[in-house]
Parts: sequence; structure tokens; C-alpha cells
Amino acid sequence: MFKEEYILCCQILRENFGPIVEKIGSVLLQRQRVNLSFLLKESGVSRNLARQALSILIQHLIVTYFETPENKKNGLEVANLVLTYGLLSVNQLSGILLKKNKTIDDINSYKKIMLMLVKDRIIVAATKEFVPPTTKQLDAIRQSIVTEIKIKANSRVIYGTKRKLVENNTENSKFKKQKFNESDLGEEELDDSFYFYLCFDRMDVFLRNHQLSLYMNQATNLGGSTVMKTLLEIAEHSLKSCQDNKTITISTAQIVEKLPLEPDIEKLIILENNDDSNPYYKNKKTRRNEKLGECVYSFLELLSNDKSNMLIKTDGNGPGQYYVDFQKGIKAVRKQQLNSFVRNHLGIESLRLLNVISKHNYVDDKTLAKLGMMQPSKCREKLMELSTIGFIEIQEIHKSSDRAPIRTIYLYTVDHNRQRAAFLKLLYDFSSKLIQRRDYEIMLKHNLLIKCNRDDVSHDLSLLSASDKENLSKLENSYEKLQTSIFRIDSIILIFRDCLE
Amino acid sequence: MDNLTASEKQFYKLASLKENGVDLEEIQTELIDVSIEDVAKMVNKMTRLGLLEICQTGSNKFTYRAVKIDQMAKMESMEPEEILVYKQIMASSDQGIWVRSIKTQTNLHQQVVTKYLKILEGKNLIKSVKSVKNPTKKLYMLIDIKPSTEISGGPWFTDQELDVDFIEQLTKQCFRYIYSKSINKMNPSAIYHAGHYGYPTAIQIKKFIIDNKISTIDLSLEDITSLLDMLVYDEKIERLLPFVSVGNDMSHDQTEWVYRAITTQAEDSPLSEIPCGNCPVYKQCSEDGQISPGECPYFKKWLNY
Repeated sequence: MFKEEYILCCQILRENFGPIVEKIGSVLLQRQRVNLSFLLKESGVSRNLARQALSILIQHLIVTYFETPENKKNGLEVANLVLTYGLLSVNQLSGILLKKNKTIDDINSYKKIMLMLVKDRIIVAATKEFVPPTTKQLDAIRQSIVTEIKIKANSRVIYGTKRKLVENNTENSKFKKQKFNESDLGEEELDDSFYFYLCFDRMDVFLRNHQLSLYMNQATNLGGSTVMKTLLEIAEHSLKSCQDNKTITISTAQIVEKLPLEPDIEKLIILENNDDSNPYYKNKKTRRNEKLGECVYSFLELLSNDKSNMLIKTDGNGPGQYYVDFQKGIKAVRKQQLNSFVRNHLGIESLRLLNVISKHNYVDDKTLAKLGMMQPSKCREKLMELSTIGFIEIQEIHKSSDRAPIRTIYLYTVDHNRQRAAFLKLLYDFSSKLIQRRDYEIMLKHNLLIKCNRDDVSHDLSLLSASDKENLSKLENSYEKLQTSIFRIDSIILIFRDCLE
Repeated sequence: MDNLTASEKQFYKLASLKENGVDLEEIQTELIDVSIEDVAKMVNKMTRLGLLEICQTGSNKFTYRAVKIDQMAKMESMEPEEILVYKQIMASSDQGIWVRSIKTQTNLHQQVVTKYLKILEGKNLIKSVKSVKNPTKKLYMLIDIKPSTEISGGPWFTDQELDVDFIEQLTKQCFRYIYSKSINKMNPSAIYHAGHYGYPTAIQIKKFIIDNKISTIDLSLEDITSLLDMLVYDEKIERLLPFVSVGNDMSHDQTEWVYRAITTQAEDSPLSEIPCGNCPVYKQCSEDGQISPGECPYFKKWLNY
């Protein structure tokens, strides 16, 4: 785990659950696997609070627990088995022990210990109805819930709705009956028996598609971006998560149908002068005019010829059908974001070198200086910057067995996985710093916020002084600015972390 | 030349016809009435006068090469060691020769070589140049010879130093030209369709540079291509496959690429927009450190903007 990732996790814990849970969470993040006594010692939190914090973390599936296998005693082992299985009979115990290759004597001793536990009322007789689920059962239940949710989310049937009952004796029954016949579905309403949750995978699809449209804006112009956005919007209903490979195939006519009125894409592309160049729309009744169809077709041709190669034409004849290859699209967006950062942060020379290395791979500094048309000293300086940040790797080839640096050839290369990890680290870092600043801004205006939350003031803001109003307005602006930046970085994290490899 | 006989003059003419000189068989074929003894006498005389030099081309095989009159005049006043050094430098042509190589090839002492190099430099007969590949290594060549591109580095180097300003100016001009061909002046926000033929090729860009006298140095097509590659790496332009050659069986080298300027600026990355993206000390920044986001003056400035 990166340090930046750790800081960000702590901040998220503090934001959602408070400082005590953050303390417990930070110890667990640092130490990975600890027992309660160590956790108490490290965090300095009281036992009760720590238990409460842990139960919160366990409930939110952030923390899991399991028993340490060290120094097990037979009694503890029996107790653990009872906890694991929930209900345990003597026969079941024997069966489990036999599977563990225990001898008859051992099994008998276990039975005796179980008896002692019963006598001491440490374990009691129970029926299945009264016993709460064990960890194992809870895990199984959770797993089955997750599987069910996934099945429902990916199903063609929309769960959670039902057909609305239509009363025949109402005034409009005739109309309603007719409407029902038209659609064969009838009106729908939410099913009371269902609970609903937010499907983050679907939300990610929208964010990812937005990034792809933005990419096309740079590759072509606003027209290209609009056509891409429309294409993705048409295909959105079939996309369940960011792990989907491609969209369904969409025809040019479908895009023309759904294209928004603004911007006017006819003004955003210069077509050939020859009006008869594209005969495909000559005799077809499109919703808008023929030229719009031609413009969309030309934009689709431009997009499919783009270097990212994300838009693929399936049918070569006529206006064709298209689909988006998300793997290629994500790759292009990642490259664009990374290059944009390198250009702004490290300079255009660094970007040049990065592109040269990406293209040629395993290149020495002299060749790089030649290809990049740079002074060798400056080239080395920029290479070091790129290497320090983790965007390029150095491969050493020793000429002699003593591995002397002077007799070593240094080749530069790009490891895309490491490059992505390094960029993600930066994203986490920046996101964390924005959150820190946001908290700082809130802390500075703490008294003012308390004042604003007072019942009298919240009902009548005129009670605030002019300077208070000004401060409040400043805080709102700062908060909005910071929050927007956090969301924007979050959408890039999505591209680099959660999308298809 | 005046004190040479007719047959000697004929011999000299024959030897000057071929770059590597003539051997005994060729002399006997061309000069029928001259015996071997006469040839030996002529060689001795002309060698003494500095008009002829003997080259060994194999075991017991020699050729006789004529020395040009102007070179002979230069070498007339030279001492034998000086001539040896001078000839070695002359043989190195535009590649130049290192002092240690002269020493090895002439079997002269280091001090002697250095002495005669200084003398030759003083006479303005030779010059020393530094190689781009090895800037610490001094190479010697004749004063009137232009160093090869391997030594001088080609058009991008002035005095063995990369001429960054020249490259920058030339790149700017190339970009402007490509940009002018990539946008429609009547409608700058629009983009040309995929089959547009107006994007320039490297040859057209070279022609533009020559026609407008942007560069005083002769630039080859490879030089222009390397400049354009640099612009591609800078992501200012993109290289496109010409519309006509799509689907044609052309190899990568044969393809005549066209170039299009990237006219739409990339939307500001959120990383470059926030102060941390441009902060010089962001690595030292931490929540509880001396430099922290809470106390950051860049953040303050950004939020008040």
C-alpha cells in the first residue's frame, strides 16, 4: 500500500465514522493483522470503544477477523468449532476430528472437554431457531447476497418493479385497458417487498463514458465528442459495469436520431464540396436533413481513424455500424491523462522523452538525446526526473563483472503497470491533500458554521452580520472548488484503477 | 614539371588518372618502349621531386600514385617527418584523425608528432575539430575539408554544440505551416473530414522551408522528418496515413505520411489545475509537516482567485 493511499484511507474513515474508528483503522492498515490487545496498546483507545469501532468496521465489510491458530488448547478448539459451526453435536465433533486425523483417544478427550464446557454452561443446548448466524454463515449469506445482486443487476429483467393494478370500474378504465394492450406491459410501480441499493458499477459506466467523450473532444473537436457521447448514450442501457469489453453495435441512423440539437455539428466539420459524395442518405427519410447524416457519418469516419482505434466499424458497406472497444479507449484516456500531467508538471521535453521511450523501448540516453533533439545533459536531467517519479524504468547492463557504473550501459524503458501505479499514487496524494485543505477550511470557519446551524439563524440568515455572510460565501466557494477537484480526480482514479485492463 | 622528360610526363599523367595509382604492368602496357630499368629511374627521380608516391597494395605489389602539383608545392618545404604526419591527416579525409592514431601509424614519438602538428597548424594546413560523439577527443583534418556529419553532428550542430535556438525556430515554422493547412480560416472550430487531401507531407514542408528561405543550411528530407517526429512526440501534431494509401500494400518506410496539427487544446487536467500539480515542494508536503495543505500559500491564492 502506498503511503498516500494509507493517508487517504484514514481520511475517509475519519470523514465517515469519526476519529476513534480512524485510529483503529489506521493501526490495522499499518499492521495488517493484529489481536485486540495489540490494537488497544497501539491505538490508545479503551477496550469498549475499540470493540465498538471494530464492530462498525466489520459491519461495513472493511475489516474481517479470524482466530489465531497459535497456542490452541483443546477447550478453546472446541469452543471455536462451536462458534464456527453455530450448532455442534457430539457426532459432528467426532466427524470433524476424524477428518483432522485425530486418534480415538484424542476424540474421547475432546468429548470430555465438551462435557465439561456444557457442565460449566459455557456451551448450552440449543435448537437452530435460537442460534444467531456464525461468521462462516454470515460470510456465506453475504456472498449469496452479493451474487444475487450481481445476477439481478446484470439481468435483462428489471427487478424491483411490478405491474400496477388497474381497476376496471374507473372512468378511464377503457383508455387504460387500451394502453395496456399497446405496450403489453401496463404501468409499473415499485415492488414493496424489495430493498434498493445504489449500483456503483453503473455509476462508474457513466463516468467512464464521460471521460471517453472528453478524449474525443481533444482528438477531434466538440462535434466528435458529441457523436461519441450520443453513441455511448445509446449503448448505455446494455452496459452493466466498467468491465464490459465493448458496446453493442450502433448504426449511423441511430446516432442521427438521438443526436442533440446543440451543438450544431454541421458547423463543426468541413465536408467535401462534392454533394453526391455520399449517396447513402439521398433517398432516406431521416428525422433531420440529409446533411446531418453525412456530417455524422464523416465524424464517425474521423473517430474510427483516430490513433486510439477505439471506435470500430463492423460493416464496411454504406454508413456502417460501429461499436466502441473499451480496452483501447481506456488505454488512450490513460495515456492522455498521464501525458497531460507530464507536460504540465515536468515540461514538454519530459513528455517528448516519455513518448520516445514508449515507442522505441530500451533506449540509452545518447540515442534519446538524438531522437529528442536535446542536449545530452538536459536529457539526462529529464530522464532522472521521470525515473524519480516512477514513470520510466532503468535497465542496467554491466560491461564488466565488477559492475562499475562507468562501465555500465543504462537503458530506459516503460513498464505500464508500474507507470500506472506511480500515477495512481500521485492521484491519491493529491486527493488526500485536497481533503486536508477542505477540512482545514471548515475548521477555520468552525465557529461561523456553529452559528449558522443555530435554529434562529438557520431560519433567518439576516441575523448574520455582513462580514459573516461574506465569510460564509467564501467558505462555500472554496468548498465547492475543492470538492469539484476531488470529484474530478476521483473520475481519473476510476479510469486508472477500476476500468478494464 | 619543366625538368621532366616526355616519357616521365607521360608516366605522371598515367599515374594521376587513377585515384589509387598504377602498377608496373599497366605502365609497361601503356609505355611500350620503356624498359623496367627506365621505369625504376623515373620512379626514383619523381619520388625525389615529390611528384610520385609509392603505395603497397599487397605482398610485393606496389602502385605508383601521382601527387598533385599544389600538394607537392606545400610539401616541398616540409621535413620528412612533417610530410608523414601531413599525409596521414590527408588520408583521414573528412573523418579526421586522432593524435594517437597518427603516432601509431607513423611510428613517430609523441613529442615529434605534437611538434609537427603545431607547425602544420601554424602554416594553416590543418585544423583541429571536436567530434560530437567524443567532445574531449581532438581530431585533425586538412584545413579546407568540411567535417563529416558524424563528426559535426549534421545541420543541428553549430561548433559541435546542439543549436537549440535554430531547432526551436525551425520547429515553430513547421508547426505554423502544418497548422495553417489543418484549419479552415473561415471556420476555425471545424475539422476537415477523414478524406481531406490538404494535409502537408514532409516533402511539402521541406519545399516550404526552402522557398521561404527559413534555413540557410541545406536540410535533407531525413532532417525534416526528424523535426516532424519531434513535433509528434511533443503531441503538437499527429501523423496520419494518407487517405489514398489506406488499404494499399505499402511498406512502412514507403508510406508518405501526412501531418495534421492538433488544434483542440486538451482540457485542463484536474491535476494541473490544482496547486499540488504545479507545486515544487509537494513531496515535502504532509498534514502535520512544516509544509502542509492547510498552511499552503498556493492553495490560498488558488482559492481566492
